[in-house]
Amino acid sequence: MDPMTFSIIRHRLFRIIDEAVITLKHVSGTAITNEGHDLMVSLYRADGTLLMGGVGFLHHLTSAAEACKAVIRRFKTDIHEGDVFLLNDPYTAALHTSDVYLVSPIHHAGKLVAWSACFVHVSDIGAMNPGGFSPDSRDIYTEGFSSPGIRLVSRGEIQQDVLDTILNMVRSPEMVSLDLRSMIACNNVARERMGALIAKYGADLVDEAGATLIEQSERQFRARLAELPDGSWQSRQYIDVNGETACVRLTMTKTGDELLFDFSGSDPQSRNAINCTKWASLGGLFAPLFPLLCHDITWNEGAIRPVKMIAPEGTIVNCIRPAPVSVATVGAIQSVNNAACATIGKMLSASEKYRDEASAVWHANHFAIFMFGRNRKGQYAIDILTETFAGAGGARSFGDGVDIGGEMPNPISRMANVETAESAFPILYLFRRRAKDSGGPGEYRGGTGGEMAFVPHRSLDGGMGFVISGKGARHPMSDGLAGGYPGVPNRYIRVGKADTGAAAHLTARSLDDTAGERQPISWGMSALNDGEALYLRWNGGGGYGDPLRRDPARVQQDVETGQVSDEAARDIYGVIGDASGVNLAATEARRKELRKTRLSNGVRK
Amino acid sequence: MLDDTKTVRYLVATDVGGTCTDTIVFGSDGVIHIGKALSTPPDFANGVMNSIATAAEPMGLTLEQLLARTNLFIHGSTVVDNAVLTRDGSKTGLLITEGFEDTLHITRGAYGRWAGLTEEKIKHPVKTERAEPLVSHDAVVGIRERVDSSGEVVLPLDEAAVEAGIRSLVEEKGVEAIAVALLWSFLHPEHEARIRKIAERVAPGTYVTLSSDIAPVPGEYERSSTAVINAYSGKIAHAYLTDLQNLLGSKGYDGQIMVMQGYGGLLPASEAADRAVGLIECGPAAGVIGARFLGDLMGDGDVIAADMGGTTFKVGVIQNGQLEYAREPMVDRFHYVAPKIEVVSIGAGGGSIISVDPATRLPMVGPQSAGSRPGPICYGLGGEEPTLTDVMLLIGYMDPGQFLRGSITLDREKTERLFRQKVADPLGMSIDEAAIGIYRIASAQITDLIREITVERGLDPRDFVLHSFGGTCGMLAAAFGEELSVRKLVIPYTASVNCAFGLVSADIAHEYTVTQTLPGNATAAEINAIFAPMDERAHAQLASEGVEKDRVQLDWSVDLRYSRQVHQVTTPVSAPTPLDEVGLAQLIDDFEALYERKFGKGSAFREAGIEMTQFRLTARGLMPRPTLPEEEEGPADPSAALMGERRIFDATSGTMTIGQIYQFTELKPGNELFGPAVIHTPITTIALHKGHKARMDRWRNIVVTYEA
Amino acid sequence: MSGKYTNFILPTVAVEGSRGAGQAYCATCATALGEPGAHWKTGSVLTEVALADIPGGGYDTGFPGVFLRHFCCPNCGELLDTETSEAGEPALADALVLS
Repeated sequence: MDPMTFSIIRHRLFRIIDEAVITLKHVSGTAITNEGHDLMVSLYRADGTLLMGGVGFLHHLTSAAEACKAVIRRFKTDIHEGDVFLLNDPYTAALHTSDVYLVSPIHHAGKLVAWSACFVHVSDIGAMNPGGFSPDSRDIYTEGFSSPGIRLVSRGEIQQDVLDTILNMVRSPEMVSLDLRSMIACNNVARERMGALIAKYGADLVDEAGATLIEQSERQFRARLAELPDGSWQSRQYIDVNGETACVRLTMTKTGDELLFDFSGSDPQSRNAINCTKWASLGGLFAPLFPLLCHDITWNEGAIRPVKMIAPEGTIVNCIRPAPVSVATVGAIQSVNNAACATIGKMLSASEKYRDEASAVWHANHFAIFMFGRNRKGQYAIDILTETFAGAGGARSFGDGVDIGGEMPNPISRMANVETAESAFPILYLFRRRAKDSGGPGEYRGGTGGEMAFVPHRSLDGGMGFVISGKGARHPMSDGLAGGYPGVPNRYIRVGKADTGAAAHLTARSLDDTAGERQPISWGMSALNDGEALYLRWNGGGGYGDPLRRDPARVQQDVETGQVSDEAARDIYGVIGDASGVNLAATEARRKELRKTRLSNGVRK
Repeated sequence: MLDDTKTVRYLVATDVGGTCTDTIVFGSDGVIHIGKALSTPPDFANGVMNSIATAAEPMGLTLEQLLARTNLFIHGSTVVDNAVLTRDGSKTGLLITEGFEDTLHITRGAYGRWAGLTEEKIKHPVKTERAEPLVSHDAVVGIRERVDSSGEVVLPLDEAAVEAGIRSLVEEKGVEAIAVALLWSFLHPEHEARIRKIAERVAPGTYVTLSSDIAPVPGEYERSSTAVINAYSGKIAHAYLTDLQNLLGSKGYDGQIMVMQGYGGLLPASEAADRAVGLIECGPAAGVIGARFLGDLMGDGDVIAADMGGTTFKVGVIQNGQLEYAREPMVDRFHYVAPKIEVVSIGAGGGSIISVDPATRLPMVGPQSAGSRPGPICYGLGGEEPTLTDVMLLIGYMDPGQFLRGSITLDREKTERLFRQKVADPLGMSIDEAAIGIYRIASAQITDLIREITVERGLDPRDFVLHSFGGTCGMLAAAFGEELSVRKLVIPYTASVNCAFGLVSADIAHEYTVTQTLPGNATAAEINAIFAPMDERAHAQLASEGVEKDRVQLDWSVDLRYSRQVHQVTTPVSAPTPLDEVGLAQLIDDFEALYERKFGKGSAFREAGIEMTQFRLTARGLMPRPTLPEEEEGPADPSAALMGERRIFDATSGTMTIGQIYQFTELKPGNELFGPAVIHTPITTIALHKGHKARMDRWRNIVVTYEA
Repeated sequence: MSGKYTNFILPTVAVEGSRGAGQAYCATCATALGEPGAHWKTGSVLTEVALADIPGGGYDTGFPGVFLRHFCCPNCGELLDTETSEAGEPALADALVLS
C-alpha cells in the first residue's frame, strides 16, 4: 500500500486511542483513573492480536489481547455488533480481579473487523479486603467477583441483570457503576472512530495497514535485537510479605533476533496473594520492554513475536488455580517488571551502541495502601494513596535517575497534592519529601524515593482503616547496574500514641522526631487511630557504575541538598568535604583506601 | 497631507511575539494600518518602536507624530515567557510550610518529568528529565506553621523563623525576590500576609509574591509553582513596562498603556506589572479574542482559530462566543495556575523538516524544524533539509517571484534536487507523488489534532467555522477544513497581525476567585454573601481606572462538580445577580447540562451530590470596539485579480492540475472564485481545491465554502 | 572504560575469545578475571555486606540475612557488579555467547 495512506492510517489509529482515553477519564472522573492514570486502552485485530497499544499501564497490552482471544473462544459466532464483554478472571487473562477488562468487537458491514479493549482499576470488586488488593485472601474465591467472560452489553443494550449482579457484590456500587460506564463509553468512542476510519479507507485497506504495521514492528525489533550482543543475563527479585520470602528468578537469553525470558527456578506459588498467572507474567515483562527496546517502534503483535517466555507451572509467576493473585500487580508482576528491566538494562549496557538506552531498575516497589472509612462528610470512601505512583527513576549511563520520577510500566503517572489527599480523607500530613540516601549510589545516582508521614485529623470515627500490600521492606529491589547500588528498600511504620498526648506528632518533621512505639506494618488490614502516625518511605532507583567514580562535586551537592548523608558520602562515595566544598586530596586518598579495603576484606574466588 | 490627518486620532495596538512584533492602527477616519518588525529580545521595547514606525511610515507620519495623536496604546508582550524560557529572571527564594520544602522539586512525582512532552518522548522514559526548578534547593526555607483543610490553624506561624529565613535568603543567598506558598493558604491567607509584612520590614525592596494573592486555589504544587514564576519574573515585567512607558512618553505618547492578560482581558500597566504570570501567552490569547470578535461580527459564535506559521501550530476554540480556560497551563515546563485562554500549541509549521525514517521507510513531517534559520531550502538561506514550505513550493502553492512581496526569490531548482535526493528517491516516488503525499499527511495530522482538541471539550468540529491565521495555515486550511467538515473557512483580512487585532477587541478585565466548598443545596443568600465583597472590590477597582459605571459588567461563574468525581466545570451564572432561588436552580441545571455535554452522556454521578468549589467574578470595563471598514459587495467576477495559471495540486482529484492564480490585493468584496486555484496574499497563499468556493466579503475576509 | 574491547558482558566486564573459551577482563584495568571459559565472577573479589552495615543506614531493615554483594576487580578494586542476595544464593551468571 502507498506509504502516505499508510502513514495517515497509522496516525489515526494512535489518535483513536487518545480519544478513547480522554473519554475514559472524562466519564469516570475518579482519582485513580485521572491522577494515577491506572488505565489502558488498546486496539486489537479481528483475531485478538495487538494492533496498537496505548500509553497506560503497559503490562495490560498483552493480557487484554488474551482477553479478546478468550472472548472469541468462548462466544465463537455469538458475537454481535454493539456487544461489550467483561472479563476479569486472572486465570483467563486479567492481572487481578479489580483490573476489569471491557472488550468490544468492532464490526463493519456485518463482519467482525477489530476489537477495542480497556481497563480501569475499579473502586472495589468485593474481595475480602476493600479496594481490590486483598492481602488476607488465601485463594481466588475470596478475591471478589471474577468472570472468564460475560456479556455486559448486548447489541447496544446494557444487560441490567448482569450489571446489577456485579454491583450487588461490591462495596462501592455507585463508583464501580461509574467505572463500568466510563469503559463502555470509551469502547463506544473507539468503535465509532474505527468505523469512520474504515468508512473512509475501506476495511481491507485498514486491515492491510494493520498487518503492515505489525510486520514493520517485527522487522524493526528483530533488526534491533540482531544489533545487540548474544548472551544471557540474570536477575533475582525477592518478594517478602507477611513474614515469607519468595523469589522470582529470570534468565534472559538473546540469540540472534530473538529474546527468551526463562523464569525457571522461581519459587513455588505462595499462599499469599502476590502470585501471578502466566498472562500476567508475559504482560509484566513487556511493560519495561516496550519503552526500553521499542520506544520508537509501534507497540503491537509484531513486537511480541520475537519474544518467548518460559514460566513453569505452579510457580509464583505461573500459579495454578485457586492460588490468590489480588496483589499480583504490586507483587509478582512488579517483580517481573523489575527483573526484565534489570536484564534488558544489562544487555543494552553491554552494547556500546545502545549503552545510553540502558537503565538501572526504576521504582521497584509499589506500596499499595488503600485508605477506607468515613470521610469528613460521613460518606464511606475507599481510595489509594497516590504516592505509590510517585516512583523514582533508575540511573543511566549518562546521568542520574530522576528523583521521585515515576516508574517504567506506567509512563505518565502522577501523585496527588497533599491538599487533595487531606480533603479526601480525615488525615493531616506531617511531611512529604525526597528521602535521604534512598537513591542507589553509583557513578550516576539512582533517583531518590520519598518519605512521608500523616496522622488522622478531625476524623468522625477516631481514625481510619487501611489495607496495605507492601513488599520490599526487607530487600532492596531497584537493582543497580554496572556496579551501581540498588535503591533502598521500602519502610512502613505505624508510630503509636506518644506519652505527651495526641498532638505530639504534629511538629514531627522526620521519623526520628516522632515519639511513640514503632511498629513495622506491611501487610493486611490495620487501623490508624487518633494520636498515631503512619510513616512511609518508598524506594529509590538503582544506581549506575562504581560510586567511587562519581564526580565529587555532585556528591557534595547531594550532601548539601540532603539527598545523601555525610556518612554515605564518606564511606560509599569516598568523598571528603565540608561546607566550603570538596577536599580533593582527602577524597582521592579516601577512595584509594576504600578500593584497598574492598580487596583486603573481600574473598578471592 | 499632515493637515488632512490633523483631526484624526488613533488607537494603536502592538503585540510582541517570539519572532515578529505586530502593530495595528485604527484611525478615527475608519482606516486600518498595519506594521510589522522583528522582535528584539531581550530589549523588546526597541522592536515595539520599530513596529509602530513601520505602521506610521505608509501613513506619512513619523513615529512621534503618530504617537502624539494616539488616544490609547494597547500592548501584549512575550517578555515573561522569554524570561522563563531563557532563565533570565531574578534570583528567587521560597518560603514554604515546614516539611514540604521539596514540593517544587518533586512536581507531583513523574508529572514534571513527562508534562509538556510529545507522545514520542513520553514513550522513551530513559531520555526524559525534569526541568531544573526556578528556585534552587538552598533558597527554599521551611517555615513552621500549619493550617488544615478547613482553614483552621493547627500550628501558629513561627515569626522568628520567618524573619531569620528572609534574612538568610536576602543576605546570604543574594535573593532578589521571594515567593511564599503555605499549605491551605487560600483558605487562611493570614500567615502569608503576615510574612509579607515581615519581609517589608526586614528586607525592603525585595519583590514578594504570595501564593494566596496570585493563585488562591487548592493544590499546593501548582500554587507554589505559580508564586515562584511570578516572583521570578516580577522585576523583569516591572522594568519592562516602566521602560516602555518612558520610551513611549519620550516619543510623545502621554496616555496609559493597557496590557493584555493570558485570560484575554486588559489591565493598566501599573497593575499588570504585579501579575507577571498574567502576561504569559497573552499574545495567543489575544489571537483568540480577535477571532471571537470577528466571529461575532460575521454572526459565527462557534469558531476554531488555527494559526500555523514557521515553527508552531496553535489552536483555540470558541464556543457560543465563550472561551475555554486551560486546565493545566504551563510555561516552558513549569506548571502554573491562573486563568488563561486555552491555546493548544504543537511544534509543526512551514519549517517542519520532512524526512524518511530509515527503519520504516515512511515519510515523516517533523518533529525537527529548520526554524527561520537556516529555514526551508527554497529561501536560499543555507537550508539543506526539505521542509513543509518546500513541499508547498513543489506543489505550486508559492510563486517563486512573488514571495513576501518579491523580497526573496525562491530557489526551485535546489529545492527539487534536495527533495528528490532526501525524500522522493528514498520513497521510490516521483517528486510530484512524494510532495503530494506529504501534503496529505500534514493535512491529515492537523485534522486528527483538531479533532482531538474538540473531542476533549465534548464538541463536534462540524458545528464550527474555521479561522486560518499565519503564513502556512492558508495553504492547508481548505483541505483539513473539508476533512473536518467545518461549516466554512475564513481567512481574515487582518490575519497577518491577528494578535494585535485581538488586543483592540478586548475589554479591561479583572478576575477574582474565592475558594470555598458549598454543598449543592446551599442557599442563594450564601452564594451572594461570597460574591458581594468581590463585587465591591471590582467596582472600586474599575472606578479607580476611570471606567464609567455604565461600562462596568460583572460576570459571575461558579465551579461545580459531582462529589467524589474530579472534574470541575466552571459554570457561568446566566440569571441576574445577586441570585435568587430561581437563578440558583438555573445555575445547577446549567452545570448538569454543561457537564454532560463536556464529559459525555451518563458521566454525571448525581447520586453523590453536587458541590460548589470556586466562585469566580470577571469584572469588565467595556472598551469601545473599533469599527472595521466595510465596503459594498460588488460583482462576483474576479478576473481583475487573475494573475494567470499554474500547475498546482488539487486535493479533491489527488492530482497536479492547472489552477488559476489570484492576487488578494486586487480582489474586491463580492468577488467569487472556485478551486482548483490559489490566492496569493501578502503573507500566505490560500489554496483552494475542486469543489471549494471562495468569496471576498465586505470586510475583505476570504470565506471558503464547500460544495454540498 | 571502553575503547580497547569490542565485546562486553557489562560495561565493566569485557570478553575476548571464542565459544567456550572466552576470557573475561576488567574493562578498567584489563586484568583477566578468572580462567578462560569460567564465569568472570570466579575471578573477582567478593565482599558481602549485611544491609544493616551499609553506610548511611538507609538499607537497614531491622531484618538480618540479606546482603549486598560487591564483585570487584582483584587488581584495581573497581566495583564491577552488585547483587542483592540472601545467604547461600548462587551468584547471578551473566555471560555472552561468543561466536
